[in-house]
Amino acid sequence: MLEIRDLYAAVDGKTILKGITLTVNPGEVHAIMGPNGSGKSTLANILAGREGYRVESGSITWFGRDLTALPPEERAREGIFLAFQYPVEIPGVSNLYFLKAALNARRKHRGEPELDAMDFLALVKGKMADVGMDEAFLYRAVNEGFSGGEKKRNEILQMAVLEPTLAILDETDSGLDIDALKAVAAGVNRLRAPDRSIVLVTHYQRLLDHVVPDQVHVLAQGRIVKSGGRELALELEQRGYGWIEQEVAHEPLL
Amino acid sequence: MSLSFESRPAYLPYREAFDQTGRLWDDAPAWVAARREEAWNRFSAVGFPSPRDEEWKYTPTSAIEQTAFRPAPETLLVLRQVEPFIPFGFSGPVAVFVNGRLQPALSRLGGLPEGATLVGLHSALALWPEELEPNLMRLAADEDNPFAALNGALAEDGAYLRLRQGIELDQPVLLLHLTAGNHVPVMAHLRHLVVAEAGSRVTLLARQASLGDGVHFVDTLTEVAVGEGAAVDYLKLQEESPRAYPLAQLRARVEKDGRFSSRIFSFGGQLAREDVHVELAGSGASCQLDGLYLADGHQHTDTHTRIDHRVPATSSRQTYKGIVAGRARAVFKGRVLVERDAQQADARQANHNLLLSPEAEIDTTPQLEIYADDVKCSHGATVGQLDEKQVFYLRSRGLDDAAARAALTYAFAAGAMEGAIPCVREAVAATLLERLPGGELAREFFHEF
Repeated sequence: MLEIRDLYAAVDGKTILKGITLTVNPGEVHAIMGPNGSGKSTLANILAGREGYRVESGSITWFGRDLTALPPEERAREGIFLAFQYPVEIPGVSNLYFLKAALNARRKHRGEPELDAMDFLALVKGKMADVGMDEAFLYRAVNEGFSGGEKKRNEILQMAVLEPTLAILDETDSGLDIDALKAVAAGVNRLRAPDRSIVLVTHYQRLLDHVVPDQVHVLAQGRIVKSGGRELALELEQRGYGWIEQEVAHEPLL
Repeated sequence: MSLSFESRPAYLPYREAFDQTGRLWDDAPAWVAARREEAWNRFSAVGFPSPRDEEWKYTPTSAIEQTAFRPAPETLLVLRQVEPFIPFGFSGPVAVFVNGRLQPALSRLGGLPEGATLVGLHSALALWPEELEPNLMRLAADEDNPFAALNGALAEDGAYLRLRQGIELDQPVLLLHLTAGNHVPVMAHLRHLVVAEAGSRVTLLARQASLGDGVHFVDTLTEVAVGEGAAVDYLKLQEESPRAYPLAQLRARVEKDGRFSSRIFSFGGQLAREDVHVELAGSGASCQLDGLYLADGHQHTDTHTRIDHRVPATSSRQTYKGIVAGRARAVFKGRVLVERDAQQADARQANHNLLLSPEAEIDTTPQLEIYADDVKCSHGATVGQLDEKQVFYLRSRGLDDAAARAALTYAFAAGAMEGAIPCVREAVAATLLERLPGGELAREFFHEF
């Protein structure tokens, strides 16, 4: 459903991605790992359509359509969800209104009836229980004054409510204690379904103890330099990223 | 060298209005006539503010001067026309003014507990002249604002609200002013006096609006005396038509341990100005001045505040927010004066502005004048646009760009409504959603919980 072909992309005029090719099929979980600065977050943001992130060449297709032609809100309504590495605070906008507007935008797009307040509350309260969030968070402004862990849980809550077709988690696991990490992992595992896919962007292997990926890709210097199964993540955990970068350095660049 | 006001074309209609209005005050005590005369003399000596006047540098009033305003005619309205302006759920006393004059038949002046009085100014002067004498046109006698002088000279009517010692009103009091008239430019001048004696407490809600979209000039002045340990909270919603010229002055003097607050929502008018001047006259006196102004299209909105810390141990807080869109312009000037004796003064001021278009303009000037050496004073002003990171976050969840911007704009404004009485908050929110760029989308976003 997602096809990335020889993608070159730049942030603020600087080329970061240098020829990414990746296919994500329905039901798969892919982990994208790599050292800092390898382009992991750029890839995640390019998929979400963030301004300032520009495709220079190559293609991204979503169920056969050119994804790059869609504005971010269209991508969201089409079922692409990015859990942000640094979720922003939005004073004055409560989680309740925000989640309801987001869900109804997606439902409307799919030709489903919008949920009214009662049905929405019932749905969101159930999802909050799943994620382990207190209902009080519904009435607080989006992420405002939330701890790091609470912000990440809030991303997982949004993901659970919106039930995306493709969820991309941009280092959602970083900086979390073990309880929050488990909550994030459980949220991802609950989402797993034959028609849904997940891309986990992560620096560390530990999330992959709880969410078992089908494929692991290592990104270095803007390219996928190695792909493999779960064992590749374990190898990276033991050996670090240094050996990969050295291998890349010795390969001739095309 | 500019011509003196008396030789300018605008002079005569105002002189006529002064003579005409004088007849309304025939029955009033002699000191009223003397103070009107004094005010007229001050106005006719200076005339309308000139662009060289520092206080009016960014707010030219030549459009007012050049429009031939006539005193607004007496207009009778029916209750049905007034009811939409009484906030839903509001059951307190109401004084309704139409075109500058009290309409007893549309008002609910009675029903206040003993010790609290709400009447028209003319009745008050007939009943208790000696009670009004120390305050009326005295709390705001020294204003150098020409419109204060003009108001003193041309005011036709107003409300007198008085609370005896220790009287606490649980229900807010509503002062409603409507200006009607579509055919010729009209003007109305209104003057309210509020006297809260020691230990009393009251919340005042002032609302002013236009019926129809005529061109009118509304000049309002409110004098407030806050007695020892008394508390007065003043809330105002200005929602005149975009063709009106609403100018208002609020002047309060706060005695020992008294507390005054104002919260002004200024949304209407092609040229709107709010002058708030508070004198902290007794130790322990405090004030909190907040507001939200909105200007879109070709509107011009101006807020000038001034707080005088005159004695030791006084405190003031100010938070003003502004939203400026289209080709509109907003002006904020916040002046805090700490006199030599006012040690331990504690003053904080903040002014935050949201600019929604490249043609919109804001001029914000904090001005601290401190003559004491043991004080805590701070001020901060910001002018910015919507945070693109927030816009993207909302879009990444499926909201379109316009809806995301509308929701964020409303959220910025909504902070200024926090803590207001629920029925007032609802009335303000309704007007805000009507007038805010993208208000329809924000209404959709925020409806239903």
